[in-house]
Parts: sequence; C-alpha cells; structure tokens
Amino acid sequence: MSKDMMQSFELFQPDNLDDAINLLDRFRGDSWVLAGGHDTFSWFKDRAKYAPNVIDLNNIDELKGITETNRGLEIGALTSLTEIVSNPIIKSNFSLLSDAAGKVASPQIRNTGTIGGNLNQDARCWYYRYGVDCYRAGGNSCYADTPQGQNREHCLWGADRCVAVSPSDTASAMVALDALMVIRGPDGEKEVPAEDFFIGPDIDIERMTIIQSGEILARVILPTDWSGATFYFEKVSDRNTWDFSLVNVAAAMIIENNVIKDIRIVAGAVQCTPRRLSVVEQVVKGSPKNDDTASLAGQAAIRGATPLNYNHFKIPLLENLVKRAIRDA
Amino acid sequence: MTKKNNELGRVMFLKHSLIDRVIHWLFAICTFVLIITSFFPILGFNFSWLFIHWFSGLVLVFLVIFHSLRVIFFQQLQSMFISKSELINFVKSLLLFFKSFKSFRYRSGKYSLSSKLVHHIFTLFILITIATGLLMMIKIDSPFWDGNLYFFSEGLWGLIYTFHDIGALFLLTIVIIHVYFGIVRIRLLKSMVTGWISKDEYEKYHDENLWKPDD
Repeated sequence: MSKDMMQSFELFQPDNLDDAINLLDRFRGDSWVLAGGHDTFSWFKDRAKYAPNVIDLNNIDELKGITETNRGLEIGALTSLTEIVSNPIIKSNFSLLSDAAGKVASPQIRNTGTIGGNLNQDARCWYYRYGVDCYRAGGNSCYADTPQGQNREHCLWGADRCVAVSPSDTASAMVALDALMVIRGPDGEKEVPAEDFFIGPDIDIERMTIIQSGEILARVILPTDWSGATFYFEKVSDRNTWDFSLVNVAAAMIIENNVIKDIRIVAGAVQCTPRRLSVVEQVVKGSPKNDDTASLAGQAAIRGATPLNYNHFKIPLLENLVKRAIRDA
Repeated sequence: MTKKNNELGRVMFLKHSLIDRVIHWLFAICTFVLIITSFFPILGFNFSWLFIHWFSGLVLVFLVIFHSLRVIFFQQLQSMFISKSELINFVKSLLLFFKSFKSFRYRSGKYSLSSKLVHHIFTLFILITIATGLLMMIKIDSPFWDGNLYFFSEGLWGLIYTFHDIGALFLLTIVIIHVYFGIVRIRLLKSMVTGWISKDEYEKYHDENLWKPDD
C-alpha cells in the first residue's frame, strides 16, 4: 500500500463557526476537523486514520487573532504559532507561552501550525501512529508497554493500558498559566480550565482532550492573574528542531524579595496529560528562591514516577529541569 | 433457628440464612459494579473504570470460591439440582397453559425451577467472564508479575476477549431478568432481605416432601 497517497475525501470550507458546527453535527463520526494540517495529513498519508468529510476551519476569521479583553488575553484557536511567538503582548506579559510556542517543531511548521492544533494533537506513540490495533486505536493491547516495546518517549505516570504522553509543548504552558479553553458545540459555548481540558487513558483511552465529536476548540483565554509573572520554560528533545519533547517544564512564579509567593509548575511528556507538579508547588511556596529550594523541588517532582523499560532517564531529566526552573527563572 | 413467630404471632420459616443473604448481596454489588464499569464508559459516561472493574472482578472470584466451598462442604448441593419431577411438572404446566390458558401451579422444594435455572445461567456466565477476566490480567503489571502481551497468540487473545464480552452481555441480560422478577415477585426479594417466609407462603409455594425448613 502506498503510504503517501491519501484517500479522497469531501472538503468543506465553512466561513463561520456555526456552519462548521452544523457540518460536524451533520456528519458526526464521519468528519474530521482540519486546521494547520500537520497532525491530520500525517494520519491521512499513513492511512492510519481517515474521515470521508474534512471540515477546513481556515476560512473562519473569528477563530483567528489575539485580542485583549477585560477577562485577559483571548487567542483564537486558529492563530498560528509564529503569531504567538512574535506577538508583543504575549512576549511581554505571557512570555511562557511564546517561549513554549517557539520551541514547537520548526519555523515552517510554526508558520502554518495553529495553537488549537498543537493543543489538540494526538498521541505520538509510534505503535499507535503506525496504525496497529493498540488500546488507543480501539484494540486490546499496548505494544509499547511490553518487555520488548520501545518506550523511551513514554510516560512515567498515569499509565492505564496506554502509556503514551501528551506531545504538546504549549499544553504545559497553558496549564501553568491557568488558561481557560473555550469549546463551541451544538449546545453553545463552554469554558474549561486547561488542567481539565486534557484527559488521560483512564477516563477515555481514545481521546486526549475532553473535546467530543461535534465540538471545536474556539479560543483560549489567558487570565490576567499570571500576567507579567516570572516564567520559565525548558524543553529537552533528541534534536533541537522539529522534535517532540522528551520532557518539558513550564513554570509561572510570583516572586517578592526573592521569596516564591505563588507558583504553578507543569511538566510535559511525562504522562498522558500535562502533569501539574502540585507537590513541588507546595514545597516551594513561601520558600526563598535558592539552590536548596530548587534541589528540594527537583526531588519532589519525581515522587511516584514509575518508569517503563527504556525511559528511566526521564526521571533525572525531570528532576534537573524542575531544579533549574526554580533556580534560574 | 429456622422457625419463629413474627410480631403478629404468625409462624415464619427461615429460607435464607444471614450468611447466604450476605453472599447474595455481595454478589449483586460486585455484578452491578462490573456492569457499570464495563458498559457505562461505552455509553459515554467517562470515568476511571479499569481498576474498579478488575478489583471487583477479583472480589467476585473470591466470593465464587467461598460460595462453592460452603455449598460443597456445609450445605446441600443437591438442593440446586433439577429433578425429573420438576421438569415433568414444568412441561405439564406449559401444556396446560397452551391448551386451555390455565396455569398449573406446582409446589417446589426450597428453590423453584426458575430460581434454579437463573442460578445456573448466572453460574455459567459468571464463570465464563471471571475465567476470561483472570486470563486478561496476564496482560497487566501487578506486584506479582509483569504484564505479558505475548503470553497467548493474537487469535487466542481475540477469543478470550470475545468470550468475556459475550459472557458480559448475557450476564447483563440475566441481571435485568432477575431484577425484574425480584420486583414483580416481591415475596422473593423480601425473603432475600429478611431471610424469612411466612407459613402461608411456605404452604402455597413449597412442597414439604421436598423441603422442610429444618433441613
């Protein structure tokens, strides 16, 4: 079978969100939402997933752009990652997000890749991507979690049949910034905190987010609570460009007189959802920002980690990234 | 004590001892938990079900073992056997019903033919689901063993899953039937809650030659 030849599909290009929702409602499980296309076309070209009706959101202006409102900063789901990286308001007030977006893939991909697509992207486990009938694909096995399985990139926490991790760099930043996800569906709009937006395999093994068939992520709201805070983002991957995180850490801190007054710190690529490091937050809150606190934070971050056969290295990696986040932010 | 007078002075007979009722209701709880954790996620109620599911399954396994040992060594296993006369009476009642639409009520031993049939169907499908469920646990990591995906061939795993799912579907069906008759024939539910049946019920539904409450 040719792997670069996509099957044909009907392309729909609505110019407003209501029409897009109606189309999704009409086709139900037979539809696919297209934004930047980076996740979509790799699935389609590999013929691992397919939908006969593709709904292209790129003509919908209300999904694009960055606006300041009285609730904070609203980012349309179709805003490109490059726009986020270069937006002056984000750079000055929420540099955590621009740093994270700047680490996604390559400049060419960031030019067309959207924030909505990056947040909603599917798991990158290569067994799953290859199209095998694993748990996530609706089957009854996990090929990564076996004595022979290649699971270097997989999870340290939250394994529940599936051991894939959240691949999104911006997801960690969104959780750290306590962002609100605005989801539009047939019943109107709902807002969900970023922390609850991502779901693990224990809740639903075939989805990465709470978005259901017929719904679209419309925009993201960054509340002003963390505007101008001290931020830290670091991503470690096998290559410095066009690669997914082995581990990433996103932290937002409010520091007064060298004391950490408040903090939200999140690790990515260590479980199926961005992992909020609540224990680290408890350990460092109210403590001076110094080497001792950083060391304690690093140790706290790895509590309960359960490595697979080939990803033990992620434990010291996470420990050091958290340590650096506290020390160097 | 297998006989007592209730507060109105009526004679009551013990049908289900406390331990039997506890086992029955524990079975019921486990089965409901297993059904909820297996079918609700399919219906779109998403929650973390897997641990609850296999833990309840293990509890069910222990209940089955306990119940079997108790029945074999401390109770009368034959009270659950279906006798020839029961089958003949059953056929007679069917023939009479189809001939003249009249019901022929025959009195049973401790358990009626329908109770025995429900019990045996439950036994069959519970055994199928727990046997296949236990085999599925080979796949998961536990403190005692590492999960092994390749313990059986792909085809055999497929059969195990198919039997588990079919067993679960039949179990769901028989639970619905059992609950329905428990509600319609409230005396059965009442005796499974309190343990006792009245002398009137005993004389109406049970044959003293087949079951004496002192047995």
